Amino acid sequence: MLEPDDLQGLVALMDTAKEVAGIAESDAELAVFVQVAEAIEAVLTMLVLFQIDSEEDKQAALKLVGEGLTGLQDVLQNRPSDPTYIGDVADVLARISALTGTEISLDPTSDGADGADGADAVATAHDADDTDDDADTDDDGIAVDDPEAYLVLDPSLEQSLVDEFVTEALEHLDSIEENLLALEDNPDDLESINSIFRPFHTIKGVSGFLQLVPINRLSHQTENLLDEARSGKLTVSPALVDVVLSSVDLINQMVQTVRDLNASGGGKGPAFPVEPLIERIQQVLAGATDAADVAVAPAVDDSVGAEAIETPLPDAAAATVAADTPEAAAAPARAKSPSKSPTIKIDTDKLDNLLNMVGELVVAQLQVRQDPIMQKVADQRLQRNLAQLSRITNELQKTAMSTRMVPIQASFQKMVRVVRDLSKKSGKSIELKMVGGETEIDRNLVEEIYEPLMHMVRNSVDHGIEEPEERAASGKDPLARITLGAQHKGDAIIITISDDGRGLNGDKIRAKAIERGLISETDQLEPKELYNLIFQPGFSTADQVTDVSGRGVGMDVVMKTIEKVRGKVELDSTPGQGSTVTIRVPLTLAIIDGMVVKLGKERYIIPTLSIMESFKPTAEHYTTVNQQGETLKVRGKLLPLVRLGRVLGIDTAADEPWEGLAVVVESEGQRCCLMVDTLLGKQEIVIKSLGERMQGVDGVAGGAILGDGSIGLILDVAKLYRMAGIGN
Amino acid sequence: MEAALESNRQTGPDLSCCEWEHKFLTFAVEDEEYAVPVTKVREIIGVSQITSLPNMPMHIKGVLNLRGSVVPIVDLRLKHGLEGREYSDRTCIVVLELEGIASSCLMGVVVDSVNEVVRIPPETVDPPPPMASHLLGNCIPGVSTQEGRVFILVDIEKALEDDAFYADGGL
Repeated sequence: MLEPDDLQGLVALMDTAKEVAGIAESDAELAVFVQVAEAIEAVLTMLVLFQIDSEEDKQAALKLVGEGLTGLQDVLQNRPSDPTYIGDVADVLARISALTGTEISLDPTSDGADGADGADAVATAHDADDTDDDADTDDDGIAVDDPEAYLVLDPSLEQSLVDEFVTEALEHLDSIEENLLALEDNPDDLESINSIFRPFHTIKGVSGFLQLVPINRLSHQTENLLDEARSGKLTVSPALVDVVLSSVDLINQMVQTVRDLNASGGGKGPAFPVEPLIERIQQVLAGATDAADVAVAPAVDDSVGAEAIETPLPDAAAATVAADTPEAAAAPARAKSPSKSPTIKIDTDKLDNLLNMVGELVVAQLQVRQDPIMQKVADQRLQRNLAQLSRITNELQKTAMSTRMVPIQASFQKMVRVVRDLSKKSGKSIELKMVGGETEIDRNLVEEIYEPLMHMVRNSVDHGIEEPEERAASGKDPLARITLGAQHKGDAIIITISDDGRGLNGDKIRAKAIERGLISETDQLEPKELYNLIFQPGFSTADQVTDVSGRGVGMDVVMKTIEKVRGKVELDSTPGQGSTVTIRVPLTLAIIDGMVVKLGKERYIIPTLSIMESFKPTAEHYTTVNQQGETLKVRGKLLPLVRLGRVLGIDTAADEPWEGLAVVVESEGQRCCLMVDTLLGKQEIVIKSLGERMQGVDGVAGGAILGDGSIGLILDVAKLYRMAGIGN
Repeated sequence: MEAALESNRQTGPDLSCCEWEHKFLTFAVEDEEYAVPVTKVREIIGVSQITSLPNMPMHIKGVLNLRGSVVPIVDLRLKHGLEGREYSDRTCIVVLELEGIASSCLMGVVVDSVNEVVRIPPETVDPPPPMASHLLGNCIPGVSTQEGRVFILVDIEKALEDDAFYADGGL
């Protein structure tokens, strides 16, 4: 038996009722069926939307539904003998109408077209008492501060249900955005419209079910708009794409709010400016001209709203994003996405666990092979078996790693939107090219590289690429190019962002660096060294601060983020021809290359990525500044000397720098020399956390199992800097 | 039905007092015998290579590798101001499974020797006399006397709590 709280059951029943109405509609003699089915649907809607408060009334409502169904069965059985038989149905209908407060008469000509939209799984409060008429614009003229603009999450909803909605909706929004941008290049592509329409439909349906009214209303309107475009009644104009994009943005915001609300147990969230956007949609629907659209475009979303106003040539400037290489940029992306091999969803914890265990296996296998006793055994069969074991382990490790890898294309794809919005805003026409999107990176890296990537792309658009006139004047193609590239190189992934803009202004950087005290007047720097100064904190050469970039916070954030994932950033530039930023990140976050060093009786590991070089200093290298700051002269430069033993409180074998070795490391653009006793060798290591009870151990980033089974501590170079009191 | 549930709740076994039929692992530090519930004990290992951590108090010996897990090690003698003792064959590390913030975590304590698993019924446990132990002062919920032997019960979670292991200030 159906319970009033069984939402899914109710919705299923609603669908059935709708179907009955749909079937019966075609036959005038069955008009009574249409009415009863619709009445039942109305009652169910009230139940689903929690419009009935008391438990008693809910049961009564359900009972009415039951009676309605019995009535219909009764009518059906008696119809063959008496075509006008309606049994108790009239009575039931009257009671339902008393409950729902709507007029239901037994007039067969009454409005029965309401159920035409059979695909709507759910009706909302909004359109339950409204018709689904697409062109109907007047009933949406509600002020922004109306209660429907507020996002309210019913606390009684199952949390996992909402979570599922959030995850799916965000995925859908991503794919919508991707397809929208493809559609913009190819407005006649019906498949693209469909692939935008369908996810919107799903979002509409589920958000209605979860009573997320603003999301539901907006997605409903957007869906209508897309439906018109799909049926060819409306052409895909830039205005249409704009408004749908705005809608995607706003829904995205709302969905994220829902996620937060869900985490905090539901309740009332903030209001969202859904109404102005719906008005824009209505205008596009009504075939309003681009100009009219621009005039009323309210500041729903800063970037999109403003861009429509500022853009002098919306078509010319914007639509050229990857316009002439649709097959190079957009097409492969789409061709790849519906990959047909079956997939399953796995809990990331399980996956991480698997990867950890495989990492262990690799190390354990190494331990066995390197065991002195094993090495003494000159047995061929044993050696062969060991070699086989190591082959299998390596293969296993590769496969396990690959489970965590995803193509970088998805990250690149997000930049399409960034470039599109920025190029519209700045009036520069830019083509974004993507090369090597199939290159796979660690899933955990995807989020980490998004920000740096966006910063770099923004920087290219804002500073790198000239105004169209300037480009034309210098004989360049007015259409600027930004290329995103990715490739594997050894155990790293190289991501490049290059533009064909004006390149960096070395003199300006130099002047600024001197002004900031980063270099002195007399310093002779290679151009490349000079360029890389922009990664220093607080460095910006933008003459004016725009809201896109130029606050001077961008580049050092890029540097920090990339270093956090043990990567490196480098910049190269040719004046007048453009600049290229190269980001180098490790293939995976779980395994790193480390240099094992000896300090007294202890062994420590320095991540190889932060090591520049190591050398045996002599007394001549060593100088003190002001009798306290110790430095070593490396290649003509004085670098601060950090006595690791002293910082970490360890008795070392070497008392003076020339008795041990100096390892030159770099972090956050700053170099220094670490004094160690000896180097023991390079090793691939699996990083292990020291556990929650050991957080904050000075200068240590984690532990790793060494070849002999003991634990080596991995040094955190950035932390060491702070401990030694150098750096920023 | 609800009434039935309620009664079940009342008659059902109360696991908290039972603790695996009151079984405790006993170990010795100096001349005293301590007892911890076996449910907290993951395993007992000999002392193997411990990697010391920089800038830590003396009693935090460091970390060791237990089949791929990094386990922090505390020396109970040193923790409570007893003189350090050279580790011998008898010296053991009791690996305990403690409630962590997110999940349970492992921690090892170095003891002079591990003795046996004994049953300590709750009725044999008396409240601790003042100064029951020069170790672990206020982490002693009770003392049990059986056939002339004295077992000092240890609330090991509480005893190790303050070893939140945050660095000792460093420099």
